[in-house]
Amino acid sequence: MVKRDARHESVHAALVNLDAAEIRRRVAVQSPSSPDYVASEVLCSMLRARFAQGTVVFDEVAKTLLARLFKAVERYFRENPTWDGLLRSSSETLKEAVSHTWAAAMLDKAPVSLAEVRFWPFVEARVLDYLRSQLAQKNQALPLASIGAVDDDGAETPFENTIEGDEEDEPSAVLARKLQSERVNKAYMELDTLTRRAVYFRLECKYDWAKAAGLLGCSVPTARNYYHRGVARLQGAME
Amino acid sequence: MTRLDYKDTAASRVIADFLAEHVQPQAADWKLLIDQHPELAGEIADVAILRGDAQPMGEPSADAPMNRALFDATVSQAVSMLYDAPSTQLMEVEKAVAAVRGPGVRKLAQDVGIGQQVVLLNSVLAGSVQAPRQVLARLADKFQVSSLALVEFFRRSFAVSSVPAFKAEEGKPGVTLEPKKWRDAVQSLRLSEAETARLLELDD
Repeated sequence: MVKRDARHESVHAALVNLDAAEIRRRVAVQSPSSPDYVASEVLCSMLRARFAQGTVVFDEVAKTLLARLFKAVERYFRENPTWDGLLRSSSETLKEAVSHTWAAAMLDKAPVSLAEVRFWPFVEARVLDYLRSQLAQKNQALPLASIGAVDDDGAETPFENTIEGDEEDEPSAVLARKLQSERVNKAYMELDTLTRRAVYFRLECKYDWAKAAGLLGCSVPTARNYYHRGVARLQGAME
Repeated sequence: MTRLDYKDTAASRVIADFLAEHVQPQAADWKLLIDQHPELAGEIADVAILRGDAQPMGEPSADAPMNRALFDATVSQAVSMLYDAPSTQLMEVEKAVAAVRGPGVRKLAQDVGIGQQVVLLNSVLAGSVQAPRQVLARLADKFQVSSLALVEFFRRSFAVSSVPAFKAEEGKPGVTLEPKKWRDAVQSLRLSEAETARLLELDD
């Protein structure tokens, strides 16, 4: 069970004995280094307890925490250009990501939410969760049978028959290093869901084929096909 | 405010707990998480890929920029959500207080330091007397709730308490607009000097 930090609880105990004007003054402090700065975990607790609801104190606590959330998420997006493709897919992305996170914190049915204990990791997880849902919508899994090669005579070769055999199975060390680059990471996110996961399980986690296939929910040959397709596309991004 | 179909998924909770413990997770950390939660392997992999080596989030600085227009377009719905949705914590307090009945009240009065003056505890729980600091802390600990939720519960209890029908015996009839201060409530009992002093110390 999640437990509140004792320091935050002592701030709660102090706040309940202050008058409204003093609470408002402290909530308005914007510099995290100020001794009167009220931590976001505490603001979150105040809202989840509906402390002073119906008064101007409550509304100001909500506005303060929401403003911090907007600033932090905006900066997070700005500092991670790898997500540009996802973020540009809708003009509502920032608003939706904040909304998703706000609802998660305020509607959490647990008696003590992680948001009241470690607010920013909670927020980050929810923002990433939102981006993950955007990624899933963007990259619907393409059945392998729909992807193939057509030669000059118009003969079609199913994709799985265009893939190299086991001797080409080793993960590319160069690709693994290159995954840190922005361009390759963007291409990584352009892969459809199963292909992307197949590459991750083999290249990053180094799972054997049986385990990778189990996690993907498919057969080993199909897992290989997803993996090789992914690697081929990522190698293309490196060129 | 655009509202997604928010679902508190198992993946969200697992990943939030993980990020709370790992400020800069490495590949091995993510792999261990997948090993511990194979049923969430796909979601975890996607988040690990998305996060990459991003800097962790933290308190924004005072001068951090904000999209003011977007904030203004969002704030009223965000606040409304809090008015529309019940608070789990307040419901927990309500349940805990309702469970204190009969002999339970006497024992609780002992446990929180009020002793024999059960009428004081009943008044605190009804919100008609302000809870002294030590009693508030002990009640919060006893009920396993935050002092914020307790104080809010008491405030609401007082607000909905019925106005007594009475005839003024002396002067004009009056209605109390605020809970009675602890000091006034204790002194009104006209207890011994020692007991009065002991009870007043509960607000130190």
